[in-house]
Amino acid sequence: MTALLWAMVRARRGLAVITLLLTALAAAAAAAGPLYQEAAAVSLRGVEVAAATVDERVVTAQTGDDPRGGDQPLRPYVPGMLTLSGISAQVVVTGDQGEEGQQGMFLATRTGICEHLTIVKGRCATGEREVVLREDAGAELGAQPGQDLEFRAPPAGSQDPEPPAAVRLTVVGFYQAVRLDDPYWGDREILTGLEQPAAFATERTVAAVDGSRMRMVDLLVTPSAFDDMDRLRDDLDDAESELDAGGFGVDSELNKLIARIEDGESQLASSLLLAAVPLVMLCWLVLFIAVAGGVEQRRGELGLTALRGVPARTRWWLATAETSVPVLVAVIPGYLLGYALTALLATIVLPGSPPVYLNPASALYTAAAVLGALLAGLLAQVRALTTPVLGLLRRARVRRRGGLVGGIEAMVGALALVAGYQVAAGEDAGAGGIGLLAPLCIALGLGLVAARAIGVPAERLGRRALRRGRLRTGLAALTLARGGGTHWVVVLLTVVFGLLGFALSARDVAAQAWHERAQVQVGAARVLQVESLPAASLLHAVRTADPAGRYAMAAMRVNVNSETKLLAVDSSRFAAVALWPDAYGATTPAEVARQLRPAEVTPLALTAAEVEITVTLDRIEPGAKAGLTLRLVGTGGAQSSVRVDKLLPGTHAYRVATPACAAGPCQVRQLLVDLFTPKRYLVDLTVGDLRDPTGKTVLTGAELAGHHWRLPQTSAARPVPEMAPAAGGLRVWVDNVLTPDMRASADPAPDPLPLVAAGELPPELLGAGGTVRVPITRAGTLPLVPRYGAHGALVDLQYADLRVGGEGDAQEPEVWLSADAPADLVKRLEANGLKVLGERDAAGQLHLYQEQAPALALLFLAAAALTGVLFAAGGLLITAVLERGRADGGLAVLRGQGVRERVLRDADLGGRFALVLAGTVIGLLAAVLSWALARGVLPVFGDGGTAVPPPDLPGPLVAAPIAAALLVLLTTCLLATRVARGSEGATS
Amino acid sequence: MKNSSLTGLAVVCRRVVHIYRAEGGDVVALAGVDLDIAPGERVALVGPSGSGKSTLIALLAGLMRPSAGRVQIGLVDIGRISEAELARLRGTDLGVVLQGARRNLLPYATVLSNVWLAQRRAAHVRPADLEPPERILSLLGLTGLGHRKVQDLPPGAAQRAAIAVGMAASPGLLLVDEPTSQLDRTARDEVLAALEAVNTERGTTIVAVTHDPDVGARLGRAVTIRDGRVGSEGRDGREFAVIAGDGTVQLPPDVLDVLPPGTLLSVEHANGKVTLVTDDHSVSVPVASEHV
Repeated sequence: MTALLWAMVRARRGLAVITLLLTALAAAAAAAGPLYQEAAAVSLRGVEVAAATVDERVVTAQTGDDPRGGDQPLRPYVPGMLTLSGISAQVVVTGDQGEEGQQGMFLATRTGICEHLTIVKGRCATGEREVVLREDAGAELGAQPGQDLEFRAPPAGSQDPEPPAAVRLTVVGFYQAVRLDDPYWGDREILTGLEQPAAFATERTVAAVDGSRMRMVDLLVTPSAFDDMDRLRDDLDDAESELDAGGFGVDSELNKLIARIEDGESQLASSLLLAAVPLVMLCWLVLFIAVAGGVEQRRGELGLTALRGVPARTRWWLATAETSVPVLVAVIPGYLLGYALTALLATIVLPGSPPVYLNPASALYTAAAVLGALLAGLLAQVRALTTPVLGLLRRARVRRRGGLVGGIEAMVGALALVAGYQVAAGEDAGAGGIGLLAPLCIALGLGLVAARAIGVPAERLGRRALRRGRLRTGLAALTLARGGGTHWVVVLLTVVFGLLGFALSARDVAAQAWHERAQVQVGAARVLQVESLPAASLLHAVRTADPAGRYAMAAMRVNVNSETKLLAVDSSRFAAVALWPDAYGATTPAEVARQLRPAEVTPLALTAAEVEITVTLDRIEPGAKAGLTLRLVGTGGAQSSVRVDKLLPGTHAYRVATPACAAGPCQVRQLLVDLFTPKRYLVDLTVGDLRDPTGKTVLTGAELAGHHWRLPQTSAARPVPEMAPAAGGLRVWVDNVLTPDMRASADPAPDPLPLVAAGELPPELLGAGGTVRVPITRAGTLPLVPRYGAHGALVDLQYADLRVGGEGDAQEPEVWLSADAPADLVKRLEANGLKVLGERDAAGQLHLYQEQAPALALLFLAAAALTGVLFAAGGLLITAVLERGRADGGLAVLRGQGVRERVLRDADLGGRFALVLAGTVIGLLAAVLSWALARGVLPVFGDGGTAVPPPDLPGPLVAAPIAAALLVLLTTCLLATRVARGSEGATS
Repeated sequence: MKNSSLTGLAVVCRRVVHIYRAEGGDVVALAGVDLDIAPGERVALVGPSGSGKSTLIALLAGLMRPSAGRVQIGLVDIGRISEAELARLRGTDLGVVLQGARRNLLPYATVLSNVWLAQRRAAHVRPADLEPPERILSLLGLTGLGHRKVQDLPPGAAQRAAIAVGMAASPGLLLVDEPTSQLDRTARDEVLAALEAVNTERGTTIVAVTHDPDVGARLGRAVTIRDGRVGSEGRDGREFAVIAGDGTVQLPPDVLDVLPPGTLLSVEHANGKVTLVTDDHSVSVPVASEHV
């Protein structure tokens, strides 16, 4: 038996090699899914951890000086996390200048501090009584390396008569200001020196300073911590319990990062494993075609064994062994091939080039793929083994009518279509997972149905062409209609092009979406987050640093109580700085800027160190006292108030100091009449000219009267004064028994406030700390707005500051920079008082999207689909190889009937072309159908964000790889024709 | 040595009709064949192309079922048995050698492997009676060629190898289709000698389809199939017309030349002689009974 089997395999070693190769590929594809998934998960952890904010990467815990810690302070251990501990004390440092030059600092220590400080002069503090200072703090103190400075705790208050004892520490070096985004510092202002600079010393040195100390324990996460999520959670719980018990207050945003990584990993797990399924199925299909063709070749032999009455078991064994032996031999090489290809893919495309390890899941998948290959092989020979002896012994193959098998295929096809639809419809948007099988089901379903259906028109066309004497067309069409195994090749091509079209569209659309979202979400090429400051200061600093308005724009968030988020931008620079992807539609940024800021506003401004305010008090309730307050905002955004305490009846000039307005113009933001009355609130006054000490009018009464003043919202319980222009200036009067709200804001911004929005407009804004309702109007609509996408609105920053800005700082102030911003712009911004806390850029954001789970999954999907094209080419070649051994001789028999060789060759080639084109058209149809039904299941963003919806259609460039695939297959047809006809030439 | 269990099987065909169903209309291939072949007999089926002899041998081999009538091999009516029983029969009692030696053999395998494969059923059913392949090969003059691959054998040896495969299970009936076609004289003689050896040594009934009258003559009994019926039979150099089960008899072709279809004959039976006389008495064909 073995000898016979070996002889069989040797005789058809070509087919055996093809079977072995296809099974190896199926096994490789199956193994690649889980292997790639694990490697991609490692890569994903690295990407997500790197992209996380510092507070998402650290668990911080602190307590007052920890007497219980004693000599062995708490240092909880969590695998994959670094435990950083330290203590800090607030100190006052006295240098050579004595008390004049005293500086507040934090004296601190931290695990591994010297490895993380960049020493610019001297060395790190490693010995007792040594200290290293931040270079700017050292410069202010005038300290030099080797110099001793006095460190003492700040005085606790005036009640404490004894100042704390000082400790003399030797300055041994200076360090460069640390990077705020370095997770080592754990986002601790004490260490990063955001408020006060930090000086670093050893733990014993810090402990030597009297006064209160803070003990810190931070757990810094590394990507390897996420290897086992359950263990991580348990360990974190244990660590937190331990810290709690030690009296530490624990704080962390790590759970957000854990959740994000878990989401990404589950997205990867479901998407990648399923992305390998079509590839494995394609292998099975090609294997089926190959084995079925091989069986067709050895019909005679099978007939012979039946004729000799060989027992059924031996017949089956002989028939299947020829397939199953190469299939089984292929298991290990296939698995190793999958490993090698995955390792290569991981090295080339996965961020961080993670190592690939063999895992049980991949072995299991390989086993399933090989089992499938065995079944495909068995299935391919079932028909031959159940055919009667005489049918097998006949040389000419008898064409079977569709009948039962065709019916079953059509039914399976229809079921696959329905399953595809259900899978697509049943999945949540962007869920990936099982939904990704929808294109395969749809392509397979359409392929099975269409491959059966295509025979009828092809046969009709062929007969008609033959009647008209068009031999080439006729024979080509008949080959398509009747060729052995033709319809399986159509199914194969349909599935390949169905998957390719879908995968390429998916990747293209996702790439567009990433690009758009990166641009939309960041807003500009670079965005700097700056330390909190008043909006006017932000605006002033940016405008001063970039006077031409070409490179930088101030922006901030405005709080709104609605789903729609509101972003305030400096409209005058919006067009120059904001990125403007196609997703924003046809409206240009300049138009948006105009809509946001229909009119320039001129605030009431004055420049003078002192002003004389002319006020005419016409009436006042007897016994009452009236005063006048002006709220001013300086050029740098500094706010100040000047006040005339008591107004006298008649016209008087009152002199007030306005130091904030000495250097440059400051804005008059608010005018407030203070009225103290025993009875009725009655006052009538006119504010006239404001003059500087030289008598020059800095603000005329007419200007005051002509300005737009906004009064608070009135109610029956809260009256407001009346205001009107008068001969001497701005007249303000009130006569009411209830306490009036006498604040009048100088607000030249349009009313209602113009907004440009995507989606719903918030009903109104609240100003002045929520006390004032600000009416708004939609000045324009965009499909998406910068930063907030489909649910957001824009407003002019200056308008917003005038209308809703209170006396507090701007919310989340930012500076947007254009891509061509000069290198020194950030320094200029800092010189104008902005402290940059962090930076984001659109390119970095795009890079992040390109490395997150959906990108890794879609990449694999596209790679699998492109590999499918190779399988299809292989399938075409295999059918050609099998045709060489056909007993019926194919079209070659027509030579005997006088058909010219050239016609036969053209018909052969034409038949193959028709096959490929038919498969391509049906496959692309399947892709379109899949796209229409299942595009929603595509995972596009790791966070599932919907603020920037992906486009509905892929770009035209998707056609290029599809055309290339078609070209490859048509070229394969040429080769296949040569292969198939090579034997005819030899035997004829 | 003649083994009693390996004696030949009788073949009986009674009014066997076979009709091929085709789109353009049915074709009657056999129109009532009656044939009796005794155990151990050697019979050649001869006749022109399309006469139905290949159909008849296909029916004898159980490759097709007769449309009507009975085909009996030994005691088995093979038109009525199941496929499984037929397969068992083919594996044990019925050897079939198809036309063209190579169609009977796995070309890449050795002669021994081919014989081994053909013995599988018999090895299972009656292992004790199984003859070693080497002995079968020696019977057919293939000693020393067992390890040769079929594709390397000369035509005569290939045909003998095909017969060896047909004989592998020591069947009672060996059906051979065109055993000598496309062979030179020497090879033909070798093959015929081999068939004779099989028949002589084993008592196997041999039915061979052939175009070659010499083969018919060497086998001893040549049944001519004409127009789907047994037309005549030659025995020991003499040619006989055969009366079918329904009483019909096919006239020899030379008689038919003088008696065209539609000719009316009167049958005169006198003094043990049967004479066919035309209506106008222009032709009379005396038909003498052998027994008379």
